[in-house]
Parts: sequence; C-alpha cells; structure tokens
Amino acid sequence: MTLTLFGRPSTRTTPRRPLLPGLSGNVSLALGVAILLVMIVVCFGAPLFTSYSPIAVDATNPLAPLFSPGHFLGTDEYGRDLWTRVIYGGRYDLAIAFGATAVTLVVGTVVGVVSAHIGGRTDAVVMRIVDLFFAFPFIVLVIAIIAALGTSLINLFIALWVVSWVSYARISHGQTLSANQYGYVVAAKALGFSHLRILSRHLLPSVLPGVIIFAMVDAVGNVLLGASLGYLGVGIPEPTPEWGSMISSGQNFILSNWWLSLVPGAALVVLGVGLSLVGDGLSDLLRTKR
Amino acid sequence: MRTDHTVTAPQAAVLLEANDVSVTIPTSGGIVTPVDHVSLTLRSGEVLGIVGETGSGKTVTCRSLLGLMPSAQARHTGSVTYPGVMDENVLDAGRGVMRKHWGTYISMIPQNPMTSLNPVHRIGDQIAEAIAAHSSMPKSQRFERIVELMTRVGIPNPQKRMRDYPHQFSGGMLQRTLIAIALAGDPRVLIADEPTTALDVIIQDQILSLLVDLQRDLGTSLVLVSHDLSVIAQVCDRVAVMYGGQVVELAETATLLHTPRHPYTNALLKSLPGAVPRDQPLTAISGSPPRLIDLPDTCRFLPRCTFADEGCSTWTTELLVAGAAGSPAGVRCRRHQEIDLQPPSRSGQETPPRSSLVEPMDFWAAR
Amino acid sequence: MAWIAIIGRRLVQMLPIIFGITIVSFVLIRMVPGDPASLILGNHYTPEAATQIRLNLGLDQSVLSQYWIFVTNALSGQFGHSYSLNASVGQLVSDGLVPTLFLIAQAGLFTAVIAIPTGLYVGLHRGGIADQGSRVFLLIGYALPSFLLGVLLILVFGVKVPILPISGFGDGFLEHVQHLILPSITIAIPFSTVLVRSLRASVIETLDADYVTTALLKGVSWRRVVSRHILRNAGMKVVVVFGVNLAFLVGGTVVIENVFSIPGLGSLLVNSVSTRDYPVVQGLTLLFALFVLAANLLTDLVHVAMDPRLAAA
Repeated sequence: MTLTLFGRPSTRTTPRRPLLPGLSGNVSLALGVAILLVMIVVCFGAPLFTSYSPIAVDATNPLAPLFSPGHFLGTDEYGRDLWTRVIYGGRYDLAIAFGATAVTLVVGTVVGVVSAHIGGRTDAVVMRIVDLFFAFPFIVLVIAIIAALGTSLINLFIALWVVSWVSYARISHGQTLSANQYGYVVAAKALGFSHLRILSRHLLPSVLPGVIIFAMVDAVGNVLLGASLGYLGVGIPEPTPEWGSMISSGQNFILSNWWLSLVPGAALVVLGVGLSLVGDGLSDLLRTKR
Repeated sequence: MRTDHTVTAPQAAVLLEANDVSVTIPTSGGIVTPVDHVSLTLRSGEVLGIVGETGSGKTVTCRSLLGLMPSAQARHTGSVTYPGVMDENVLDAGRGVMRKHWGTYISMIPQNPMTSLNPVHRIGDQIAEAIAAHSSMPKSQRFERIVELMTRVGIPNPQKRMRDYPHQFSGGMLQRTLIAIALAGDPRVLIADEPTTALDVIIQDQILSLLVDLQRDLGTSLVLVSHDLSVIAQVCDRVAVMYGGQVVELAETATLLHTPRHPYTNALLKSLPGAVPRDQPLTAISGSPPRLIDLPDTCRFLPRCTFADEGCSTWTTELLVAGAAGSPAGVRCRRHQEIDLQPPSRSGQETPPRSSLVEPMDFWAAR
Repeated sequence: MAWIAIIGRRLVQMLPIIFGITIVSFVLIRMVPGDPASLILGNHYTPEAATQIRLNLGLDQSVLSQYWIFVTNALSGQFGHSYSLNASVGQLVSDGLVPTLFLIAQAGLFTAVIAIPTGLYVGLHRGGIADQGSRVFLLIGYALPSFLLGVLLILVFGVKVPILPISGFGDGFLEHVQHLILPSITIAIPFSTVLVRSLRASVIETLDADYVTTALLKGVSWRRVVSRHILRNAGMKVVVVFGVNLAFLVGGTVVIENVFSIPGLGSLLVNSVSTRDYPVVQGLTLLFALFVLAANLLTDLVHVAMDPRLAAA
C-alpha cells in the first residue's frame, strides 16, 4: 500500500491519467511509427528527394555554406551535397536498425525458448555460452570480429548477428521457464501434445511481448553501435555515406561547418527517439492487454 | 478477558475521534470509496474492534486514524482528531506535524510482519531508531531499554538476538519486534491492523494474548482490526462492523452479540461456527460483498438483505442512533426497529467461545 | 573473515567463463582466412620472421597445443609482438591501461554523481515537473550517440568556451583528472539515463514498502527515512543494475577514447583494426573481458556487503 499523508498530496490531486485508457500508449506508438515511416520513405525513396549523387565528387564546390543555391544544407569537403548524403546514408542506419535486429530477434528467441523447453544439460550448456558472450563488452567483441573479417557492410552485419542474439536468448529463456509453470502449459504437456505445438501455440505467445518490447530498445542499441563503428572508421567503409562516419569526417570542420557533423547526428537522434517511442507505446499496450 | 466496564464508562477521556471520514480514490475504472462516512471514538483504556470482510475498508479506515492515505491520488473529507493533543485535523496535517504524535501518542502494529522490518538493518537498530526518535539518551541506557522492550514482548535472549537481521527471525518473533517498536515511545493509542492474519494459527493466539496483556498492563487504548468476529468477541469492549466501506453497526460487544440490530451483523453471527448452537445449521450469506467502485448512496447490503422492503431501495444510508443515551451506538438500517432478526445467541449460548486463547507461553524461553 | 570464502566461491564460479573467454580470444584469430603468420606480419613479411612466428604460435602442432601455448603465454603477460608498432603487446597494453582505468573510474564516479540525486529526486516526486521533464531527457539521452555528445562538448567547451582540455591525457594526477572531465561527462550522461530509470523505479517501489511505513510511524524525520530506509534499499537494486551495465561503461570508453584522442586501450584497439594488428586485437579482447568480470565481481561484493541476506547464503 502506498504511503502518503492525507494533507499535502490530496489537496492538489487531479489524477494524471489519459483521457481514454491506453491513449498515452497509442500516442507514443503513433508518433514513433510516423517518424519511422517518414524516415523510411525519404531514405529509400532518396532519388525522389534529391537530384545529386551521394558519392560523386564536385571539386568546384567544396564546403559550401548552409542555404547555398542548390545545396540548402551545403556540401562537404568533396563538394558532395549534405542533404543527399544524409538521406542516402540513412538507408544503412535503417537497415541496421531493422535488419540486424530482426535476425537476432528470431534466432535468439528460438534458441532461448527451445533451450529452456528441452532443459537439462543442453540448456545448461547453451546458457553458459550466452553468459560467456555477456562477459565481453559488446562493442569490443564486434570490433574484434570485424578485425578478423575485414571492414565491409556484410561483415558489420555478421558481427552484429554473432554478438547480439544472446540478449534475446537470455530474455526468452527466462520467460519460457516461468511460462512452463503456467497451468495451461503443464496441461498441454500432460495431454501429450507435440513439442512443436507446445512451443508454437503455448510458449511463444507468452514470450513474444517481452521480446518485442526489448527488440525496440535493442534496435536503438544496434543503430548506435553501427554508427559508433562508422565513426571509428571500422564500420561501413568510405565513400558510402553513413551517419556515424559522416559525423567523424565532419568533425574536421567543426569550427566552420559544424552542421556537417550535427545534421547526421540529429538524424541519428531522431531515429533513436522514433524507435524508443514505438517501444514505449508497445510496452504500454502489451502490458494493459496482459 | 474483556477489560472491566468501569474503565470504558462514558466519562473516560476520548483519545481519538474520527468524524464523518470518507476516503475516495479516483481510478480508471471509477471512483473507489474504501471509507465512506465513518465516525468512531476511542476512549482511554478501551479496546475497540473493527470487524468486516476482506475489502470492507477496515485497513484504509484504521490507517486514516494515523493520517495515512492509500495513494497520492486519494482524497478525503471529514476529520480525525486526538482531543487535547492534536485538535487540528490529522487528515490535513503533514508528515512534519504528525511525526510528533507517531510513536508517542499513536502507534501501529502492521498486518504483515515479514515485510514490515527493513531487511538490511539489525533488529536492535530498528528498535533503537524508534526509541531515539523521541528521546535522547546515552547509548548504554538505550541498550537497556531495547533489552527491556524485547523482554517485555517475549523475545528470549535479547542481548544476542538484537544483533540478528530480520531474515533470521520467525514471523511470530518479527511481530513481537514490531510490537516492541510500537511500544517504544509509550503511546496511548495502539492501532493493530489484523496483527495475526499472516501468522501460523498457534502463533496467532500467542500474539493476541500478548497484545491483550500489554493493553491491560499499560492501560493503552487499542483499536483491533480483524475479519474474525470470534477474536473480536473475546478481546473488545465495543465493536464497529464494517460493510462496503461503511460502519453498519456500532455497539458494546455483548449487546452486539446478543441483540444485533443490523441484518448484516446478524448474518455474520449466523455464519460463525462458535456462535450457532450445534444442533442448528450454519447459514452462509448469499451473494457477494460489494466492490467499492462507484457505489450508490443507498444501503450497501440491500442486494443481499432478506429483510429489505420497497422503501429500502430509495433510503440514503445514515448511522441511526441506537441504544441508551450516552452509550455511543448506532446502526445503519432504516428498518432496525421493525424487523425480528432472531439472532443465534438467543437460542442458547452466552458468547461464542473461542477455541484456545492461551496465555503467552514460555514456549520460546523453554527452547 | 567470511569475505575470503565469499570471494573464493565467486572466483571458482567464474572459472568456466574465464576458460570460455580464452577460447573465444584464441578462436578469433584462427577465424581469419589465410596464413596467420603472414597476416600478423603484414607489410613486415619476411620468410624468416614468418617461420619464427609459426614456431612461436606452435602452428606446426595440434590445435590443442596451440591453445595451450596461447594460454600459458597470456598468463605470463605475453600476447605476442605487434609488428606494425614494433613493440610487444604486453608493453602496449600496459601503456594504455592507466588512461583507460582512469577513464572508467572517473566516468563511473560522474555517473553516480549525476544519477543518484536525479533518480532519487524524480522517484520521490513522482508525477512532478522534474519527473515529467526527466522523461524527455531520458528519451533523448538514450538515443543520443555518445560520440556525438563528445563532439558537441568539444565544440562548446573546447572551442567556444575554451576552459577544458579536449584531447589527450596530460601528465600527473591533476592533469589526468582535468583531461578526462569532458570524456567522463560524455560517458556518464547516456549511462546515467539507464541508472536514473532504474533508481526511479526502485525508489517508487521502496516508497510502497511496509518497512518504510514502519519507519515513518516511529516518528523519525523524513530525511532519515529517505537516507536509512529508502535510499539504502533502492540503492541495493541499483548496484545490481550498475553491475549488469558495466560492460556498457567499459565499451563506452572504447569509443570515447577515440573521440578525445586519449592514449588508452580503446584507441589502441581501433588503431589495431585498421592496421590489422591481430596480436593486439586478441590481447585486448581478452583483457576487456577480464575487466568486465573483475567489475562484476566488485559489484557483486558490494551487493553482498549491502544485503545481509546474501552474506548468509
């Protein structure tokens, strides 16, 4: 029971609650989805929103200022249009957000649920492997794998896949163990249902909400990790535009052309906020449903 | 077991007065009213029982007597005062004001001893905190006081056990510790909110006996909350019966047991194994208690009442004065003078006997 | 003292993980396609040097004995030789160790200084203006890449209001502290969003605890209830969250050292990737994992010290 005194709080209490139950969840979900949709449309429809190439060098017009004719965000040191590079570059960051996350979500969840369902020694070994991955700072392990494989887009994805399935395995493992105690799962086992049926019909539905909510947090993490690697020069190699590497190259001109770093930086923040809003909204809605 | 009636005669000083207290909590499902126009008085040396089913508002009621609210959103009307000591409304006073009265004037013994002590501090330190809150005394003297309190509540080997942490104590020992904490500031009023519900049956009797003993020895007034009418019957001078957030009947214990006036009280007695003669069947109350959300002003018991007539469906409830003048008693039933309830005790026994209300045992000392 | 037994037990529990870490670090280099010796030598390739390396790594022997050579060498601090920097890996690592540990400690301290008062305040004043405002801060703070924050701080404090050093590590303790102020803030702000969130949640949960009611009804001051009962118990849960997220803090130093050109292990790691300096990458991977383990052990011990129920178990 909450402990509050009669006096102070109760005199100014208009309970802070949405006009309709679930509205606040819907609002952040709608806002987040809108942000992501706009970004997807602009980035993947980039040729519709610009006539320049993101990589073609224009030696006649380097470091054009803001609102220059034809380049409203100016150009970088190679005369490439910043707006063009930002919207083309967003393709890679969006691809990391969804591509890296979707694969690890599926693989990690399947591993966690199946492992917990089998139990016994297999489960113990799988979870020790998961623990092992958690002993490394994720970024160090990702960098080490990239070091071994070499820097390229596909190697970046491979490194993210190899490293971050473990979070999903750990979460879904825990939730499966608690779902295993539920009456309906026990009953399904007692009735002799097949493993596949128990897994897909009974365990997965109780595990998924938590996993999906985490996936939104994880997507933000993956975007930041991918951009960090780009910033460090071990992500997607130049001249491919990517927000992290753009921030890094713009840093050389931070005094005069600060927007070369800050515009892709702002784009990263907006993407992260969009994903977080979707996550918040989903967790509100899924929690009230349960 | 009951205290002498001369002590609780009307002239005894009033220590606590709740006047028309209501507590409401707005929620997404509607307005919850756990306490609805409750008026109570507690006199010096008196044991007042509050009895009712789970969800009848007992806990919120007795917490409001201390100025505690169920949540930040809760609102209140009415007043609680400690006459002569705290004449302002307790419900409007802040933590800073109430601090002076908590522990010294009024204390609470909680429902769940297992969660009511901080797991990271030693038992002795938690008792010491209660002592130090109101008096500054040298360490050695405080140590003596801790030992004295622990001995008084029946914790053996206090010098050693005060160094234990709560997880090393049993539920009964934890509740004894909490009683020691409640007594540390020599309060005049004790509020015991279902103090034995969370304990094993044998321990329940020990704790109850301890409480009654302490109340008698120290002359403290006690508000004892319980869902068990047989406990209340053994211990209390007066009883308030709560139903749906309201006090539906308030009377001297003997009067209540022999001549209940409210149909709910009567139904409660008829469902009590000890109160009904063996050759008669126990009667369950049909239907279920009301949820406390968006209740109408009409009688809460109406849907389950076998005595209701057409007039009841429009009657706005109020606590009607009943019994002799000067004896605070009331009943919240418009037909209480017309109906013949045929209470179980009229056909036989005196008061419902309680199986075993043992004296505090030397059980722990013997170990 | 029981502490030795507790530490001993945790260390034994860690052994399988430490074993696993050495295997991962060992396998990493064997993943590289091609001849390890020529990869390690890079531009410095000569047939004689390659033969020497093959001998050192035991490449002519079985994989098991190669692993054994790796582990015994690592135990004695020998991680091989960096040909691109022409120094032993052990030497490079010990040079970078001080700045990195310094940064981790200072950033951890800054995080505590930011997160504890903020989390406590918003938890105690739930629904207030600060609480509502902090939600926006948390939302953006979580999505803000730490290196971008670093760039912003460089722009503001290094260029516009040049009061703090923006790169390097300096000489002597005071200069170290000074040079690491901006990097530490850069790590602390995103990291503290995680801690503020969890501290707020556990303060709110603790406010509802029965033992807080008990304490309050003793008549002690609210300040004492907060410090002795709420902060202490909520803090216990935050220590656990801190421990779980320590890898995040350690990983953060890798990026931030590069932003502020701090000559630590993170800068070394990133440089080694671009020069394909495999022995360095291998040694650092192993070392960073050991950092995380040591830090986890430390938080574990703090937790035990704070919660008497754990000390008994």
